[in-house]
Amino acid sequence: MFAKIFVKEWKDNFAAFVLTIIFLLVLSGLFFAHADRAALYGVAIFLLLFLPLIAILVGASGFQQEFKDHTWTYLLSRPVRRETIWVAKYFSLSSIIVVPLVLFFALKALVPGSTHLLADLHASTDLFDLSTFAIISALPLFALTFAFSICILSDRYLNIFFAALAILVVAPVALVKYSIFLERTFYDGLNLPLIIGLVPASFILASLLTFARVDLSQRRKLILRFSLWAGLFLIISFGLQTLITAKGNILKSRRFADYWEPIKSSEKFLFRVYSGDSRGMIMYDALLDRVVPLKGLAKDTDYTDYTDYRVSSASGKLAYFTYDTSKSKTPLARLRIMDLATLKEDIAVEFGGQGSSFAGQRPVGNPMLSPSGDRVAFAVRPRTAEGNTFATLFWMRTDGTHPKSLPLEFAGQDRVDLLGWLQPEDAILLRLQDRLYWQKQRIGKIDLIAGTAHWPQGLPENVEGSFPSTSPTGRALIFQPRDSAGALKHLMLMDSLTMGTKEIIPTTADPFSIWSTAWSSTGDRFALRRKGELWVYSSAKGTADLAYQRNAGLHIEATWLDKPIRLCVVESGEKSRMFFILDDAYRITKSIPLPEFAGEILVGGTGDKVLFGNRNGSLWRLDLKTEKWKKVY
Amino acid sequence: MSEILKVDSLQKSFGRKRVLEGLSLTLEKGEVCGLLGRNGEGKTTLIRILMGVIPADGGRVVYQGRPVSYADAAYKRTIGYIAEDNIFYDRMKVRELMRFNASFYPSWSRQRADDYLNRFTLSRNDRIRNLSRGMKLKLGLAVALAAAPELLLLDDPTSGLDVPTRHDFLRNIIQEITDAGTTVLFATHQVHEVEKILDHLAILHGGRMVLDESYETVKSRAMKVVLNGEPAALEALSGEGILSKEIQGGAAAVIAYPWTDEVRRKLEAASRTPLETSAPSLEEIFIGFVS
Repeated sequence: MFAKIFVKEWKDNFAAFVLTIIFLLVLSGLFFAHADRAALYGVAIFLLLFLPLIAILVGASGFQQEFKDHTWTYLLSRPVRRETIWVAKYFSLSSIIVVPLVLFFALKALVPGSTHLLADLHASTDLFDLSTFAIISALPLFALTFAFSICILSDRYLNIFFAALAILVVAPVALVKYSIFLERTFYDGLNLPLIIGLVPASFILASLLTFARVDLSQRRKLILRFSLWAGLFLIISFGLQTLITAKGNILKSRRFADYWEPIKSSEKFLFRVYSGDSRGMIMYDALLDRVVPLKGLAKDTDYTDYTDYRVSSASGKLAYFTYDTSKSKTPLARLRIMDLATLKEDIAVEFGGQGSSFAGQRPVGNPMLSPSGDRVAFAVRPRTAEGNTFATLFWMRTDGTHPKSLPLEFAGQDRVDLLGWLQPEDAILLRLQDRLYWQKQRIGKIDLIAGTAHWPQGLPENVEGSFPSTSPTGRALIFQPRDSAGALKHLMLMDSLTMGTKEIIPTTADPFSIWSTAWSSTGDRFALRRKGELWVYSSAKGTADLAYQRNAGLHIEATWLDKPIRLCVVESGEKSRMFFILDDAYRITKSIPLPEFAGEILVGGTGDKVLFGNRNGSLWRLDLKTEKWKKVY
Repeated sequence: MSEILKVDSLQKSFGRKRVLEGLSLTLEKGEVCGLLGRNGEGKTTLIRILMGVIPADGGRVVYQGRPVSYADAAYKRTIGYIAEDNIFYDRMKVRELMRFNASFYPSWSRQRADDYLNRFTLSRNDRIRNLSRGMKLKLGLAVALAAAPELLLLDDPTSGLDVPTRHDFLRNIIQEITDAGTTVLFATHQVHEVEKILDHLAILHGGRMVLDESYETVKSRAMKVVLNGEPAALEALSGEGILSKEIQGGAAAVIAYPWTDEVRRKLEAASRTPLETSAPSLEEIFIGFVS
């Protein structure tokens, strides 16, 4: 019976199916022929605008045609349950809309070269990308369901008009706004398909409850009952969505930011955590094998930028800026120094406030602690700085006493990065980056004893934005310069002492050739990931060796473990992830499969403990001896 | 005989308008029941309630000893139904409609369906939209009878048909159906059509069943009386047993039901001449009940 009604609806609405297929085929042909953004937008407009319109017309035909032709009585008098009639009609009409979409998505995978085309346009290439498919099919399904439900109530054309208005104007605004609200409140971006899916589901249930039981000949009662059921189910569906998102995000609410360079012993790892607008800080102590909260989650008026954190590798201290954005008359920013052993925090400097020594000034870039932890350096600029204004470098004791300064002359600079503190020379490596031309940078060294700046000649002015990367000891710096035409050149290693440079590895013309670097804690080696290759540079050898090459289709990440120094690699793909430890000859000495919960972020480790991070905010520790996992956060 | 259908105190309103009010009806197996009523009295409403198209507001329906509800569908597998307008899916062909219905009825017989199509000279490849009204009636019959129903509900199916077709339907087809043991409920306001085929007569008026009897009983208890008397006396004739009267000057034609001695005495008292009695037609009985 279900099948008969299902097939009958298909036959009655076959023209709509053919029309949809033709549209999609034409658009697909245009897209693959031109393969540009305009064609992609054309497909998107069709999927998000015209397809819902077609869905409204199809949905409206479900019952209205029966009423118009007076075949409704005939159908209802058959020995078949009303629910069966309703469900068969609904799924038949829905499939008329969904089948062309499935064909469209399948076409993507079947057309040779389409995957590369889509990848070039940064569009989804995954046939089974359920989020994309769910979003694209959910809107027309919602349109169809809505029209299907309300067009039973009264006049067809009037209902089509209002259905179109509601679906194309009100619903997307409401749904998207609600989704954004939930995302911002609970920091989870995966629920848009769920939101949109719950709404048609709620209409299906409301309609089933209404139309399967109520006398269709009494329109007023029908409208009232449907409105009540639909309202109830919409409230439930939005409530469920909020609950699921909130619950999921309570569990996921703790996230960590990119971690900082670990302390020299690699025994402490710092993370910033988020939950909605709240922020906090935690520290994983490898010796204790547990997470220590440094600052509890709070909706603070201070805003902290992770780039402003810096950890002293010898003294176990943390220096960072906080910015109070809510009060304009009190100090705008503060430099805080935290002792990681005692967790005691002091305010070393207040910026911007009346009466402070830095009234009218604001910090720029990051603070830098001395290796001994007794001094701190930072740069400041006037708060109302516009155009070409100069920054000033300050250094002082961590209690804020004995300040000294040196103006940094660099026209138009906006960014000052302190890269390292060299001892016993007492010099600070820094990079100045032009505000307008971000590729224009200069690397220099400030002699704190003489109070002079040294900008060595011969260093290129343009360097790749993701560099330079400073060794933990500050004694070496790697960067990738660009030539005058902006093309990337060879990777360079700079000796901080002599400011001399040398080429390390020749690069390709691909600007994304070099993706990440990781220094060993001793600062004498670094690992360099370049596409599928992992290279290791050793200062002792003075050369870089190919340490590891990934298997095709897989992704690799690498970092160093401490005590003893070992190179470790995570190689991951869709179906499996493996963790390897390599010896000095880059042979795999240990391989451990990584479970799903462990996450895809290799943080680092020391001794037998390796720390992994999951994007849902959890931290997992792997014991290399027992190969057991422990969730530490 | 045993009961096949029992309707008890059925109620139905459309908005403020009460259409059925405490309607009760009983059908015995194998009989032909004529359900008569004026236009808009609720015949179609009753049949649609029995077919589960619309729900009743109150009351009970018992089919083959089992109470049935609006949500049920299985009980309709042994009920055939021909609606007043014989509307089908115009897009379909005859064979498609037969196949569509075949899946709903476990007792559907393809052989039986083909036999009826042949008998009614319907081509399986004809498109329904091209069929005449009479051919659609026959198609509806073929669909209904192919499932060998135990109860057949006919909602004024002959309305608009030409006389020969109507005659054939009423005389031959209905007879065959009932000979096969099918119970028929024939709703119509074309009274004279059903007179010769009825076993059971039900008259619907004012939302209620004002008569629900075997036709033989009705015929035996109804009397048409012609009398002459004073106009005033004739006008004063009323009360139990006097269904209707038609007065012209000093003469009156009275339909009496039930015809009893008391009624006879009442009429004799008002008449100056001996009463002239005869059997009333079904139409006269019907008018008497609904006027």
